Amino acid sequence: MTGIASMMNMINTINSISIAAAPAATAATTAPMAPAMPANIQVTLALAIILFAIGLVGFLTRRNMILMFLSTELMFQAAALAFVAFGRMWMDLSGQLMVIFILTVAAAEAALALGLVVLLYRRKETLSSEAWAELKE
Amino acid sequence: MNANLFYAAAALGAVVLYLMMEPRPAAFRAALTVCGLAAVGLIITAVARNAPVPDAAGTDPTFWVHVMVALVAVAGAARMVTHPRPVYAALYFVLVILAVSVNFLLLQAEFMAFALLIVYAGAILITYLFVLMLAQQSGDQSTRGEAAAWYDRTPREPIAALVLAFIMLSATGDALFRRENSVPWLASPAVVARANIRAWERMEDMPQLLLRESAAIAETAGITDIAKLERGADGRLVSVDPSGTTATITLLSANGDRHPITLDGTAAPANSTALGHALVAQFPVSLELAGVILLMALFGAVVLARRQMAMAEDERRAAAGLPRIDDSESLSRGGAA
Repeated sequence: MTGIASMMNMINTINSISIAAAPAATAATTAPMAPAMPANIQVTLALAIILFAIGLVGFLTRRNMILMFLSTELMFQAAALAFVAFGRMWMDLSGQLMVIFILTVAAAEAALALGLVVLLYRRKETLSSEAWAELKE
Repeated sequence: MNANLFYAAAALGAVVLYLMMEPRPAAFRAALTVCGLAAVGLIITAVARNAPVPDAAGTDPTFWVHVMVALVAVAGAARMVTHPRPVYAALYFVLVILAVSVNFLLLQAEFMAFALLIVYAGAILITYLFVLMLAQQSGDQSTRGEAAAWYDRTPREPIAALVLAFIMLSATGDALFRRENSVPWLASPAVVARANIRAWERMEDMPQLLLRESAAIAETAGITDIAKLERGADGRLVSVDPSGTTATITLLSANGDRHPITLDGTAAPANSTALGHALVAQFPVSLELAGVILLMALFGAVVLARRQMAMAEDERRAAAGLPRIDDSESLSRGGAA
């Protein structure tokens, strides 16, 4: 906060400003944010839950370990879509900020999971998750 | 009524997804595509008809863009989980990401739309494709002359998975149809005003942007000798109209004249500016934690990669007839270094 305050003081003590010729101001008065159409939000939320369900199906039915992880990425996408849609509905930026954190977790997961998958592939020469069925013991 | 339509369409979609899981002749695939798109269209119809403003679909042109994007995304996702060849599945996921980022654009999340494209389609998916190509060399034992390995052609427990997904979709979708006991979905004027006031208050922390925008407006009125922004009696630069539509700031000329300037929404910070401000101002600790997560992932990837190098060396030794490196030895080597 002190940083911001000192920056403001600095700005306030600027003595002269030169500004290029500005375009003529528009007559119409618009608010910074306009409410969203509920139908659009509803369609986006429906898309989010459909994508999540398809990702769930993919995770359960795929035997290829890489594609199982790819299906979890699809579920991440669905969650991100729902976050942004709810954020738009309430005109709040927190939903979009959550997507930044989802991207972070997805990137970290991709790096680690794919490293592990390559390690497992080198052991058994197959990507099938059934090859590691003994792990469930 | 709408809820029942939703359940029926979801069940149709589940059946289509089940039939897509085995390789099919082209004509059958086309019929499946039509049925699947019809199922998604019915779900969208049921959901949109239930929206608080019934005629919104007729009045808002972006509604149809939303519908098209939803169809593309669901088609790409369905093909991704059913395609027998993994590389194609990954490419269909890129299609899903494109559709989702267009949807972000429609929801006025411009920064996240392009961040999604760059990070997901550009970085994460390329990593997936690299690993897929690394692990699926030609002459793979599991391929046995087929175009795809058996484990990519054969779904595991498809019916159980689809029943589970149908239950989950119905339960979640049900929330879209039961609004009478929950929060109102149409943002009330109070919510809109609060959001706009928050947007103006954000500008309080951006004096340079404020000065630039207001001086540009002042110049069109012939005032060019602006010296600085003046603070109000409450110590704030911006005084917001109670409705949140406009904000008023006061500029001081070099000779001491005061010029009140009214800003409208075009002067408010852009999505990326506001998002950056909110990230640092609202979630500083989470931002640090995200950095820690990425750093840990970096360390983890390096440790895993070292172990892989040791194992590749092991295979070369075995091929040359040398004794294999003991697993515990390679692990301790990796740990000690």
